[in-house]
Amino acid sequence: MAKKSSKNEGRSGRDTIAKRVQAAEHGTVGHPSAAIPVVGIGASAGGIEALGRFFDAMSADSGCAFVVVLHLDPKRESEMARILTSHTSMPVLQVEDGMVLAHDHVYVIAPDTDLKLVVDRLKVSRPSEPRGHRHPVDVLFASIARERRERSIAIVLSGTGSNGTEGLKEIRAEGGMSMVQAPETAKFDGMPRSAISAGLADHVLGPEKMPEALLAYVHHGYVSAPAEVEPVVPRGEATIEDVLEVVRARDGHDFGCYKRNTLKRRVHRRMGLRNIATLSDYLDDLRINSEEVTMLVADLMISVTGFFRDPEAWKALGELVIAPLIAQRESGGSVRVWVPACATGDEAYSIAMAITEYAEASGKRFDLKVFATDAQEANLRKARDGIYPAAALADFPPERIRRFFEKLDGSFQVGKELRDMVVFAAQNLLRDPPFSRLDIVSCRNFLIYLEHEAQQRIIVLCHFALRPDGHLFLGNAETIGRHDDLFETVSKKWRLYRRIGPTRHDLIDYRPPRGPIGTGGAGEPSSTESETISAPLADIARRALLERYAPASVMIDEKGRVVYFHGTTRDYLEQPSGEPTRDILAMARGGLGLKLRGAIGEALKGDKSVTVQGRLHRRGSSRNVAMTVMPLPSQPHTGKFALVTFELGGPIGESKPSPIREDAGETSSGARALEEELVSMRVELRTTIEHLETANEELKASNEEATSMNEELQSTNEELETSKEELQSFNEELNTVNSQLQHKIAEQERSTNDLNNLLAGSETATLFLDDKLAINWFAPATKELFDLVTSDIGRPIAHFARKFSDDQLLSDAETVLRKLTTIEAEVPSDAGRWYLRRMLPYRTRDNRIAGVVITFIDITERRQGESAVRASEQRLKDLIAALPGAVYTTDAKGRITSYNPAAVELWGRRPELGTDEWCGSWRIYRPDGTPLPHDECPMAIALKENRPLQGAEAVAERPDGVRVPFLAYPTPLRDAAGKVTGAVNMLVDITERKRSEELAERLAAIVASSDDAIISKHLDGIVISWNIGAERLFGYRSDEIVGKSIMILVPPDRQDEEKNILERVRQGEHIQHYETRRQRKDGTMVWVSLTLSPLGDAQGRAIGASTIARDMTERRRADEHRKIMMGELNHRVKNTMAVIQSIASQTLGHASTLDEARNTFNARLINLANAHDVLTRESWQSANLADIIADTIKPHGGRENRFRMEGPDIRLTPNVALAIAMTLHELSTNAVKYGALSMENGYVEIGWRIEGEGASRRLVLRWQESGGPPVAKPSHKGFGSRLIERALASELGGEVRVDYASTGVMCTIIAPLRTGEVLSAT
Amino acid sequence: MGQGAKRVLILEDEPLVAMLLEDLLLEMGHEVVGSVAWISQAMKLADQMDIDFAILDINLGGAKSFPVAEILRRRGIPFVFATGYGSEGLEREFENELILQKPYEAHELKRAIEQASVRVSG
Repeated sequence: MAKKSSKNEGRSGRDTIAKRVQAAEHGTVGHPSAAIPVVGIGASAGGIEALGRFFDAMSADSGCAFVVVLHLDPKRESEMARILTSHTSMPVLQVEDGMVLAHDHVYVIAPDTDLKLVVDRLKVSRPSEPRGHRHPVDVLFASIARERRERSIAIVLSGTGSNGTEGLKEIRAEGGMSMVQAPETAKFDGMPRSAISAGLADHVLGPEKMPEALLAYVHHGYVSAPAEVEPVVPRGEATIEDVLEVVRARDGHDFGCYKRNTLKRRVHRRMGLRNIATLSDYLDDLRINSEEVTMLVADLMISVTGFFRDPEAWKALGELVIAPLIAQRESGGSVRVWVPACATGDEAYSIAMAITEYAEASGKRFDLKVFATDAQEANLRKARDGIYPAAALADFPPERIRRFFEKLDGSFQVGKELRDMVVFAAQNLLRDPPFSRLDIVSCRNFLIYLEHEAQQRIIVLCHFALRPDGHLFLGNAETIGRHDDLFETVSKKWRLYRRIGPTRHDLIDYRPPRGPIGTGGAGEPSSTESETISAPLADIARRALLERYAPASVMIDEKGRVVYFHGTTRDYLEQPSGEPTRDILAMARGGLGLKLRGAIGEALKGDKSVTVQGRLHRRGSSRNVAMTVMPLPSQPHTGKFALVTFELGGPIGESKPSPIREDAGETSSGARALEEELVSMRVELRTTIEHLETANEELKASNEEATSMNEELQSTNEELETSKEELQSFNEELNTVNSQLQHKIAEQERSTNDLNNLLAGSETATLFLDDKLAINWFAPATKELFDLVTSDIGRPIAHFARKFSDDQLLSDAETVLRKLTTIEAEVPSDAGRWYLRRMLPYRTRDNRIAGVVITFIDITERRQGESAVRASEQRLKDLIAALPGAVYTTDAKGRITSYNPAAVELWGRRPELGTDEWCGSWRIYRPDGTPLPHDECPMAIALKENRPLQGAEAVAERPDGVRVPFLAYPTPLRDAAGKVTGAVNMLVDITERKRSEELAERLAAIVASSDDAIISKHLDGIVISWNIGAERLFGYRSDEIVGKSIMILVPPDRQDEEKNILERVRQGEHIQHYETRRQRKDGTMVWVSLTLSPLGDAQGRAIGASTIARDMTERRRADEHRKIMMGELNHRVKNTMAVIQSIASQTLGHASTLDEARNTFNARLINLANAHDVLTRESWQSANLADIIADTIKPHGGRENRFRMEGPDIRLTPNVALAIAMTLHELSTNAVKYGALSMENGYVEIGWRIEGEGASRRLVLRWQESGGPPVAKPSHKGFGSRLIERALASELGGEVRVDYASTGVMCTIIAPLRTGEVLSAT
Repeated sequence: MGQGAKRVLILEDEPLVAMLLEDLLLEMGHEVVGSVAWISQAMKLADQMDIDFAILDINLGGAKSFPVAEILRRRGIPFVFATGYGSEGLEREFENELILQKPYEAHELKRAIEQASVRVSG
């Protein structure tokens, strides 16, 4: 076993668990830095916060290396490293390929990469999967598990999906620790929940609690000193065996056959997780803590499984085993597969899928049964549910997923068809009987955990379980060991074996459970025990007898191959030189072969025992050999067998008579008799033995049958369970339906009662007739009209005398039946009352006409009242018609019911009675001229709000276009009960009044809205009116000054001036634009321009004056401003001159020829002018960066634009704008001369953006040339570079990098934008 | 020249003008120990640095450089203002300080440095 697996070490196969287990068992430590525990942290959405909390709590000297994997936007540079730096004092690095891990460092994945740990380096690769299907966390976890085993720690934090769950399996299988963020603390709990529900979380904690558990684990002996898995145990201390004993006693699982080293490692891991130092303490814990026992058992049984694990092995299985099996077997036959130790069922489903796919490809259908068994009920539960995370199916072709799976949120569930094929059952491979007659047994990656002896037992078990030519499929690191007589190798590399030879009951050893089992396993322990003891005794006895007395024999099959040797056969058989053979004829020693061939042939042909004498030549002497070939009863599936026995006779050529005869004289007859008896006893014994063997054989066969029957029964039982459940649910459904029906019946009864009561209680005479006009039912009130008693039901109505005169009754009833209409008539009764007779068809619920319903309603009072009402109505109409005001009425719905001639005059039209609503006008408007819908007119409001309106104003428009303003007085009309029955409205024409009002208002509005102060006053200076403009100008409110003298406004030194003005106005003079000063309420002076006109009375005499005063302050202030602007302009011009001076000096100082100097100088000046243009457009407040750039590069762009610009809107101060303009100008000139723009296909990309917030807010602008000639760093700094650095670096306090990359010049400008400074004006 | 070489501080927010000024000073054999565009930086240097002379622009993005001048005066370091305004742009306190009218020529700069230095030492 060990050798086999060590051969595999060179291979880089995926499944090298065995190898790793092996390595761990040998305690080998592969590399020096293996001592650093590696903590892999996987997170996604919401993970940054969780990471922050984790690192805040994590001490910086844990000795671990932390690798953080997140889902990052592949198109953006990651800021993660920077973010994490603020949470930990450990160095935080973004991972680059080949980085060596160091302790107390944090490594963060780079965007758009996969990360793996290889030995002690981080390997970065491009992700192979498309975006959205990647599982970088799984990839990382798996690699850490592989490299660090128990020193691997995996943490799953907030995120959606199931990334990380698959990786945790590997971590757990390798003995590492897993921690999962508690879902209630995670912003997104998809990843944590997925991991927890897969049962892979050792700790479920909030991020800030994790460091404590992590440190406890790292400092525990399990991690810190893993080589000493079990230190030398002092006497009396607990051992691993004690632990197993406790587990067996408490849980029933016997791990006695498991490899000790694996067990120790895993027990130790549990101690690490629980932070328990010694085995004794742990043992104490186990005794009281049943949960820990369960956890330990689950850990001990851990195995890694997966769909189509080792795809190449599965390919081999498909091609070498499944395909031939499908080809041989006829459609409709059954195929049986057993997957023992199936864990979560992945493999069982895989094999079912593989077989189904092969079968469908060849167009056959089989009754496929996959028996999947496991000792752990929890595993089986998961397997039966068949729900797997998407990552588990990552490598599947889409057709397979469609064919066999159903999508379930983020995961997939195995479809019903596939689940029906796979039968899951609890079975302990080491303890329980196996299944039988199987085509394939797939027992992978289980043997590696077992001691050698147990492995061999299981191999034999598999041999028994398979049918002849059935196949065994083992894990990559497992072999059939010494049992190469039971199996022939189909593929050595992929561990495929075919069963050969007959069933070997002798090798099978059903282990009885060791001792009593805690959880009620064995029924009658005493009886089982006696049987188990007696059986081996008989066997031992039989074996001893055979050894002692039975002759050397071999068992052969029908082709003469030896299948079993018994006794010392070397005298007769020997291996010839060359390859080993099992052919008995080839092995037979000289002289025996020929005879033997004949005997075998004859025996098999005749099916009888044949004995021949052969002669054996040896060391010069020859001896006789009696060879008996005895055919054995043939068994199904196994073919024919025969037993060949060899018995040695005496040497030939010795003339001595036989010893018996020689001694005859001396031997007593008693002895001879004894001898004869012995001979006969021997014969008898042989027969008995044969009988026993046959019986034994039969018993075993029937046992085998019983076992398989049992397994069939189990599956039948399962089916029965299912149908029982179905029946139960069906029953449940029936119960529900029944109770619903009962409920409905009760309802129906109640409504029948209601109807009966209603009809009986009503005063209305009601009569139901059937379709033959016979009485079906009548209400009590009907008796006043017909002479009816209850017993009359069923008799035709025609037979009854009526107490009213109605000739049409019967004919109407027939009409109703025929035409299905309703007929009404008023009929007088003999007693002088009037009735409304109404007849309608009687419809059943299914709309069938089953007769006629007749009701009689007493309308006597109504008929009497009607005539009185008619008379009073007429009087009212006459009155209204004579009124000069417009009057009209409506019904309750607002439909016009009447109007008078005055109304027609006002509307200019005649409304249609009963159709026109609310108002008879053609159109209506509100007083402000906006259209007023009819249903919002005063009448409508009065009706809808049920209140009278007094003088609501509106405007009616006649069809000829004339608008008539009117006041409406609508009043709702109510009946005796207060219910609104209609309304009356009177409209008053107000055209004249309206006109004069409008004029006055217009004038007032002009005065009010004027910006100038408009004041009217008496000639003695008393203020009469004071507008808003005056209020604004002088500060007095109208009520403060009206009625007082205007002199309040006049400064003391100008009192005479005002008097003079008033005198001039009295003379009738108009005064215009008189500039003077007046005093405001607050005492300040204001320059005003006055215009005065006299106001005359009706006779034309001046009685007052109107004054218009205009504020002159603004104009004066503008003059001041102009002066300041001139000064500022002067400053700016001089500054600009200084700049030009500098440009000139710099240009002339650096140019080599006058011509060049001129050109460069011109270009620079024009650039400066352009930048000024932009700034001037914006009044020198700020400039848009995009405009600046566009104007700067325009002259260099050539015919097609070779600049690509991209960036947000940013406004810059003039200084920054000018600096950037000049810089870009220099870069552009350079690019045209030497750089990208000197080549045909060259181009320049200019990109900028704002980064950071608050104090660190900054502008990042990048100039990137491409497609130019190769660039070399210039030998000296020209004006351009100097300017760039000066202008931008020191000036803006930023940073400038000019990179002369060979692909093109790249210039990066980073300028901080300080709030408050960025937009301040120069 | 060596004897008259001065350590000069420049406060000027127009980079091109600053460049010219630096060139002129270097040609005269002086050493530019600081050339800054922000008043806050200039105050710090004026307060802490070993300086022989300073040339201050008055208007820097709307802020006035008088606080720097005050520090220099306190330390007895000679300086001149360089501005596009005339002397009416000065606060009363600095009315009598020397002013270089922009644009200025090399010999004007040279004379201003000499005059300012004499004033302080005298």
